Amino acid sequence: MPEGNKIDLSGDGGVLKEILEEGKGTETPHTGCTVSLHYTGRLVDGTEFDSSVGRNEPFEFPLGKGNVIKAFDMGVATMKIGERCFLTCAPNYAYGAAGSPPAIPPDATLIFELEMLGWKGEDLSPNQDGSIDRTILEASDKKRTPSDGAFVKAHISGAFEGRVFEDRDVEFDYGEGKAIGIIEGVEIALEKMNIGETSRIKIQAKYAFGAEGNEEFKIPPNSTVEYTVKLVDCGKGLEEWKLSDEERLAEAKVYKEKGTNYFKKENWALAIKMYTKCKNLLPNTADTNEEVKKVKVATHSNIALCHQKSNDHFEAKQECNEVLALDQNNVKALYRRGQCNLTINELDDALEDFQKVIQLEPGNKAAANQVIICKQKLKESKDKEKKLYANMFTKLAANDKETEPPRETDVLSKCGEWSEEDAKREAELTLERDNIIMI
Amino acid sequence: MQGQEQEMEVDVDVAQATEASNLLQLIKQLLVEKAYDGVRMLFQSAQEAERNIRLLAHIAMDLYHDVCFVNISDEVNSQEPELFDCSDELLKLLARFAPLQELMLELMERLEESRSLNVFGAYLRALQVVLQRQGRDKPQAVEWCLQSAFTRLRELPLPKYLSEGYDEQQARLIEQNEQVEDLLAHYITVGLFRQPLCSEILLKDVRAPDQIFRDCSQNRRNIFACFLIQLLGRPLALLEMSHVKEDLTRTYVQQVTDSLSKDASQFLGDPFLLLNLVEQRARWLRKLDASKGVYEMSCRNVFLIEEKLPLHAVAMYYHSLFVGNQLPANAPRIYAPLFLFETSAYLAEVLLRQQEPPLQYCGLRLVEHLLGILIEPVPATSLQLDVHKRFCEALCKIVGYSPQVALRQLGLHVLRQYILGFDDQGKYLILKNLLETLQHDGLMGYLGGMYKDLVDKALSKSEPIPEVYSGKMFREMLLLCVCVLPHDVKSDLLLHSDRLCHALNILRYFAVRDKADVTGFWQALPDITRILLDPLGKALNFSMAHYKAYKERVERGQSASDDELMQRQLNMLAVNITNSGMAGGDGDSHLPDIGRQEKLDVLASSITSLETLQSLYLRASEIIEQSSRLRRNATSSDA
Repeated sequence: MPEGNKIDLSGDGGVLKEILEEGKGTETPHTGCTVSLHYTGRLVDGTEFDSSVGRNEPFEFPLGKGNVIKAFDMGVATMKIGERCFLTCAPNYAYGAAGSPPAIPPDATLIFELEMLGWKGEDLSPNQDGSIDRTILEASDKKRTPSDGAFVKAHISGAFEGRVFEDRDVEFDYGEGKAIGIIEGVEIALEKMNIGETSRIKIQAKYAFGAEGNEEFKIPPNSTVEYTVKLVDCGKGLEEWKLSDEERLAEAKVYKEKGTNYFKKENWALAIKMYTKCKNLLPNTADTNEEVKKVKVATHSNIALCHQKSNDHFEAKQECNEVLALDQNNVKALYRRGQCNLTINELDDALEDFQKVIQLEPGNKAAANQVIICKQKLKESKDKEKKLYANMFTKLAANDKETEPPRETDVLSKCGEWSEEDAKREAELTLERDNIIMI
Repeated sequence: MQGQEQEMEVDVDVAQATEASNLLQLIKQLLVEKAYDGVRMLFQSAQEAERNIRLLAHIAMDLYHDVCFVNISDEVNSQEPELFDCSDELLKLLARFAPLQELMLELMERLEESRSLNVFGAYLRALQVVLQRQGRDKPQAVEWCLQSAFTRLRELPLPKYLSEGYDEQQARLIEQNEQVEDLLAHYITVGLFRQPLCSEILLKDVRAPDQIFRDCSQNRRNIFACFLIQLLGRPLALLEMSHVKEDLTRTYVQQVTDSLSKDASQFLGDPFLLLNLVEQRARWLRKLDASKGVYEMSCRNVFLIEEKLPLHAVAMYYHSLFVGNQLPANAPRIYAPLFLFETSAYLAEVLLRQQEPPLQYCGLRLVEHLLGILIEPVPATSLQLDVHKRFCEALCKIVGYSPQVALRQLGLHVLRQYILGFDDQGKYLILKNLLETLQHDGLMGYLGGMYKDLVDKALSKSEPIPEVYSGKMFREMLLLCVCVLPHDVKSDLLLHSDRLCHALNILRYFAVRDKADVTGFWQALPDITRILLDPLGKALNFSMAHYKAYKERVERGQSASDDELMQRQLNMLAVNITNSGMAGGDGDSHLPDIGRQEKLDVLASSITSLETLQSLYLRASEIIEQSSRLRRNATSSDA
């Protein structure tokens, strides 16, 4: 091979590439892409030590993440689609002084023949349905990524059909991005980004602006958007497993406070998220520790209120049940559950709840009012039912007055003794009397 | 014309149905008469077979319900084995013609309910036929069928000690246990069941030539791969402690494991494929969200779903590949050893976290193996991955507190190799973090000693000493992590004696070894004296006086007020006993009251320990003093 045709990829002659067949286009795969290719690896004496062709399956790997030997990452990153090339790798870019016995001897130079088949972006969506797709533009050798509760500093730039609609620096606690208008797709992607990394993230509507779109940004409903995100820095998340009971309680209170702040800002979804985090952080000592119990009761109660505010009355009722399981005479929970029952038309249960509130707090005017509303609604509903049944009976009675065919035989007296003829006659008779309800 | 044809077809159908019904009656009659060969003749003789097999489609489910379901039972098998065999053969035959879904549902139920290998085997054979007929359609149904077989395996009774751990001697005899034997027989039966299916899948379910990327969705090939790997998890994994390194015996456990991992590798194509997904699985939990349709099972990549592919089973698959030496000869050789090590750390951590010692044992051996194939030290940057911290913690828990001696020994060896696998910066960070966070006194002493050895090695090299073994970082390690008296003068010296002995030895060593103060030891000495040596001297005097006085009181019979302390000492002793594997029991529970002589014995042993510590203390102080004098002299002569 003449040295002149070889491209020095590492700058020190450690990784040399010789193109055997030019690829199509100009694009090469980005770091993080899943690359599919065929390769055959040989020692300098021509001994084949590894080949995807022999396995009859292309080889796939995420590019630039250190999953494969350095030379391979380096070489593949420069290949265009359809390209074929030789890659000559010095030992320090392959298996070094140790080699990889028995196939690769110590200090071996390796020659790979590669054929690029294709690549695809990294799917970060929870369902792996392509709804969040990442392409790393600038990789980072750092390995820390944001975890729940960690402080995150990033720069985000969102574009729709080539038009940039937002471009800003953001700082937030991971998990609370929504509070500062960060869409879920960006937050999910950030969790898998290393400090210093810049990535392009293609986000489908369900993790972006959904079926509503965004008026301010002029994004129509069900639109896919593209963000460029740089993770500047992130702190360490909360290490729950390491906390003592006292620390758990203290940390839970911090989240309760956060929840209350979001509640005040009427951000119900985040408030629920924070309260739920608080609930999960609390130690399992509610039976013995009065303070833990108090916080737990308050948290469930607040979650119930948030659900109520966001019109999820069934969920709110569940939370009230949780509170009442801890404290059966909790007036707030009884009152809230009453409200939920009232909304979902469980009127008897609602009345029972409000009456219990009055029993516990005889002077509770709000509950008294609700009792009146309940009774009124119950009355209305009963009247409605009455009317409905009355109508039904009137109609039935009217029908009954119509000519009723004379009964020919006493069916019961001959039960089990029907001849085929009788049965046929009876069936015809039944068909004639269409208002008979068969039981 | 058409009408006539239809009529004729109906006539033929009716005639066939009558014929089929007669056949069913005939089979039943022959079985009543115990003419089993007669039944066989119906489907084997040249004249009869063709017609009768054709009729089977009409009566398959009736035959199943009236004959197979009734006769494939343990009772029939023990009383009339010939009837059982005949029904078994009929079942396999009718499985070729019965309505697929209906029979599949029946077989699934029967498999789960089966109470013996014979019944399980009979239904599994029929299932094999059904699955061959099913082909690539409805992979979900195939998955449910395979799960039924696995459910049965999981529910087989096993000796309790498998989950509690066993030693090498027990391990050698493990396959002699009846329940284990039965489990392995079930696994082998599943092996026979899957063989033709596996061959067919490998032949037919291949990637189309224009398909660039692997299909990770729910298809037959992937479902089978998951099933095979799942089989490598519990309960089979519980037997893995019996695998003895370099032992020439090829146990049944090994054979079953090897064959499963071999098949799984064939299905995966690239056996390392799952390693690419391990980080995704172990590091970032999928956030389920019903409003967005994200459920446990909704992921389009089956290899990411815990229920289909439990991580502990994935870890056992790689244990088999690496430790069991089952990597296929054509496996890719281009993966970076560091990548293999880091991803295996995730898997090892999963295994160490499990309750059962056999799984923990496999986790340790997996890491041990991968440390062996590293070609260069692991860079300290790798420690930014949270998994290292979790791994270390799980490992130290085993080393310090596992009731299994073998596990503690292997654990300590792995911990040492693991730390030594990193570059200098990495070694320092791990040691410092562990010394700052661990509670186990003996282990802390050991790690302190390890740091000393590392510094010693660096000192003996001609190159300049790395910054982690000298100056500020050396001083920090010594003052914050090694030379620590947890509660100053009031520290319980007996409780911390291991660590203190190590600390004193380390001081003694540096005083002798580093007279030139390359490490900065002598600069740190005044602080070490202030925080460790001075308070330790006082504490030693106090403790010695206290125990001696106590001993006197016991001798005079006036010790009631000290009994609480005594109880604490005994509890500590009990913890040590539990840890040594000599006796079971809870170290925290109170020991029964002991007599005067026993009290005196315990006190004598405590005093001996204190005396040992004191002599070490005196020796260390003396050597420091000597070396210090030598250094002063050298400095003055230089001047």
